[in-house]
Amino acid sequence: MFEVGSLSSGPSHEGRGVLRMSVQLCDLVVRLPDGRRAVDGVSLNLQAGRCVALLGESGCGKSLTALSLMRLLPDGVSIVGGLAMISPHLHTRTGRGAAILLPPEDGVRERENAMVDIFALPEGQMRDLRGGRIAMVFQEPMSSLNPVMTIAAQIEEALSAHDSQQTVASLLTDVGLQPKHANSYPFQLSGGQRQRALIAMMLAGEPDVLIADEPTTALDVTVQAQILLLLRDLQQRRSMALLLITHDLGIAREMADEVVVLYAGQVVEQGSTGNLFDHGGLHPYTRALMQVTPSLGRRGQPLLSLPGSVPLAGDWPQGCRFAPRCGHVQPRCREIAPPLEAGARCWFPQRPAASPPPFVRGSSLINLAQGAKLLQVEDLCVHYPVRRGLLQRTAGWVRAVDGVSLSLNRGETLALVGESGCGKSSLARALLRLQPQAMVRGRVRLNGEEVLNLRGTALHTLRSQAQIVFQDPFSSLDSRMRVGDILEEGLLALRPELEPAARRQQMERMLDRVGLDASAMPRYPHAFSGGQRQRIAIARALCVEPQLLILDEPTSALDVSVQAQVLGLLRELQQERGLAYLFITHNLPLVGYFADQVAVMQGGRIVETGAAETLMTAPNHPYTQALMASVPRSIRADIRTG
Amino acid sequence: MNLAWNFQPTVLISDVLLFLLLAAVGIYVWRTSYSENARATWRRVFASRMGRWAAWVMVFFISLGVLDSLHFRTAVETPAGQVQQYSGEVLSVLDALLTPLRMAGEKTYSAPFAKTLLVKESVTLADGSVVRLAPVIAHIHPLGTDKVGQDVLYLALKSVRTGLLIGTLTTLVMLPFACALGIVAGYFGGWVDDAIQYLYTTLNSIPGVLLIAAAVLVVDVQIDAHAEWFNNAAARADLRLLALCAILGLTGWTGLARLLRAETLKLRELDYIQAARAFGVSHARILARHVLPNVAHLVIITVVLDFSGLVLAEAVLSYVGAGVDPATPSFGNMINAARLELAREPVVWWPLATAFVFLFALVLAANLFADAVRAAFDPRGAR
Repeated sequence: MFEVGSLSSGPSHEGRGVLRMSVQLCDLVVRLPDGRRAVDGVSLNLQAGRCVALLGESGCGKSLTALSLMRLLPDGVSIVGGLAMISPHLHTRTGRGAAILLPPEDGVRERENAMVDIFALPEGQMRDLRGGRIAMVFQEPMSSLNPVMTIAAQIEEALSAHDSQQTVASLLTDVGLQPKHANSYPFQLSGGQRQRALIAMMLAGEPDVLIADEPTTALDVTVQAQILLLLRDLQQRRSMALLLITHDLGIAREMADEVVVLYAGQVVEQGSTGNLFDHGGLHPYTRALMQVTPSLGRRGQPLLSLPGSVPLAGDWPQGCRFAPRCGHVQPRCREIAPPLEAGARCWFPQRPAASPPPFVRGSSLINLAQGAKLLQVEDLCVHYPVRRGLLQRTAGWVRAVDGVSLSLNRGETLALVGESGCGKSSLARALLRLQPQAMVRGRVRLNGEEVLNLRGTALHTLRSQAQIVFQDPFSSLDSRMRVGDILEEGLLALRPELEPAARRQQMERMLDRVGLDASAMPRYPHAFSGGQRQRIAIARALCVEPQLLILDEPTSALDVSVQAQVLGLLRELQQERGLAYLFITHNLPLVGYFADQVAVMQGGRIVETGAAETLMTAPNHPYTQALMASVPRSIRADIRTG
Repeated sequence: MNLAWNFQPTVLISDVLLFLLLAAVGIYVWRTSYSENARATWRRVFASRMGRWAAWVMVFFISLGVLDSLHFRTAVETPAGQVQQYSGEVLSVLDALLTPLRMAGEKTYSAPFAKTLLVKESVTLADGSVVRLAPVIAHIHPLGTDKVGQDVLYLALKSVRTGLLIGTLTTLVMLPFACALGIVAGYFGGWVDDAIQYLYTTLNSIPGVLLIAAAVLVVDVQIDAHAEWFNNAAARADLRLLALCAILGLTGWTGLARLLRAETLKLRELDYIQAARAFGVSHARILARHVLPNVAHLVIITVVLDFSGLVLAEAVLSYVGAGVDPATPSFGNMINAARLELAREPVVWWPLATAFVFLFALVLAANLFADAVRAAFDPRGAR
């Protein structure tokens, strides 16, 4: 290891007496196999001890930028332009490769000042760099760990690859795991513990730069907060540079020193976190991102509607790439692409945001419908049998839902909040009688009619009264069926008396209602974006004219701007039709924005229920309080002030 | 002499099946021509150069098979006043077209384009001295001749029908079992799954070749015991071929069924199946509309890969004496004979090489065509 005094250049951090490498990424251009550009001139500066958040929706090129730094791009995707400069003297820290890296005629002085381009390094030296100087934490901790190796074995592998002096025990302690976890296999650990183990592996080579690609997206909210705290703590203790890729403004605000906003492969705004969040963003896209995020504070107002979605790589418009979606677009924007100047890539930065018109709540229709009890659940249990032995006899029961009581009025939204595994999806499926393997007990009444023992035509009636919209719009539409056939399926099964022409009319009406048109019918789902697919799924459910719609995390797979569109649509539909929503989610700000009533679920039971506003501001149960505490502070503040 | 009909059409059971299959394809094509979507999909198959080429090669092989399935017997001279008699030898239209090749028999092996036989014979010259030389042969054989002097090209062309029959009929027998049992096991789970799993595990636990050989031998005994069922040798060989297809099919569905079960286990938890169930769509309809189309790619890939496996299985079975009738020209019989031919000095390589090239072309064309079909039917590939 280098002592600070032995070098004359580069940033120094007294904290551990170690000189840390910095990375300067200039004008990165990444090309997809078909020649389209996915990243188009991105520049970043990663300095020791600082955290940079790379912010943007999916398809903006965040992950490709990060993978380029590691030179781990997928097959066929290539870096066609740009430089990633690092200080070479630091590169040779382990004593290997110094002679190869620098030509012998270089003087000592030059050697210290020279910079080396990562993209020009031979693959052999790149291997030392990866994990050794730049490490990366991925989104999904389960698939990043080898399931047949113990945690200790995997960390040791990383240690020996980098000749590290650290020990497995010290690394585990650093990331907050106990020594007993060393001999566990990944499947024996929880999601958060796995992510910690992965971080320990990444620290094995004592990296100078840590890249975290949506490190908490796959985790539960309470665990998310812990992992973010851990990352920030490690980054400060080891004075690493942290590149945090996220789509969550709250996380960026909490964690980062500097925020870089990407849109359509370009940096559209760049600045220190404090400035950016104080003035609310210079670029209209940044401002829109801030305004489309739902929270309790925005309750009762429509979210800013950002039309469309991020254009596909290469389908970028001429001129400003955000122009087609921008609310303040000028003729000039459509013609000439603006340069990145004074922190934003916009011709007309920092226009005052037009305040959205106040949301009129409670039209006459809602008042008519409201008040009547639609769904009543009493003491519902959903138990799954655990089968063992040769004859697969039932050896025990998993109590996924254990005595839940709920009630939901017409035209209202009941949010069911809880972390993964708490039984909320089991509950929803049991309400729809989609649990043939499970034992379901209790009483569920829809419109006063007992649901759980329905058969035949009565069950068909239930199915047209209660429908479901799933989380993932990619798996909820059969990719081998045309949109028309998908929409028709429910009508064919539940309204067989309808003539083909009447069916078609109904389908067209619903497509039109969700903002698509009849031309969608002969196309396959893959031709649509995530948000459009979710609209199709909503149209499919609405075709049979239900009164209750179960929304199983309907927006968690969508980008924030698209989420705002879908939420707006759901709101309108509720007002128009007096629909009741059972809204299943783990996203608390969303609950605060969208729900009337909230039920918090933990371990198969409801621990707290109440009106959304009361429960979000003054939670009673310790679990609810813990959930609320895990929301990034900035948003929490927003909730309070709102 | 009455020669108004100098041949009599003869129909073998496999011919009937083959033409039924062609008729089914014909009906499908006819129905496709009415549906704009299906026409567009098939146009995509033929839009790729690879798909077009593979289709032409397949058409060539299939027309060989069809020509070889139009059987007849020629009239033999019958004394006037008696009922017209027909030869016991069943010929096909292909045989008639290839008469020059068919009739150009030699005594034994000769290399491609050789002017003499491969083996030397003792010839007594006019002066009484005995020399050993290779006799000059009468015809040119582009791919040489086999042990009994038959033209190898002719044999290979005749083998195409056997290969196609084994490939398609076996698949036809196997597919309903594999698809129905595999999908049902995966979709319903529980005791249905258990029962089907026990069935195929039991089948799988018996070594395949032994099971097939035993079944073939049982069928053989039946065929031998009922000589009166057949009025000529071709009908007998034909039944044996069909029995082989049926046995291969009945024992060969386990692999695909297991694949389909696993895939269906995954599919049934997917949201779109759940959504269909939330609409009260019946199980049969879900299986037909959602599950089957989504495992079709597995079916196509497995069937095409199995095709070559089946032709080779026929060779292995010929080796243990349980394959097709030794008189039936087949790639399996050719490959089986190559065992001894490769051990000779000089090596007789051309029958094996011919079988290899034909089989390779057939299987490659089938693979590429299936690939083009799969790609065209995959909605994600379509823009």
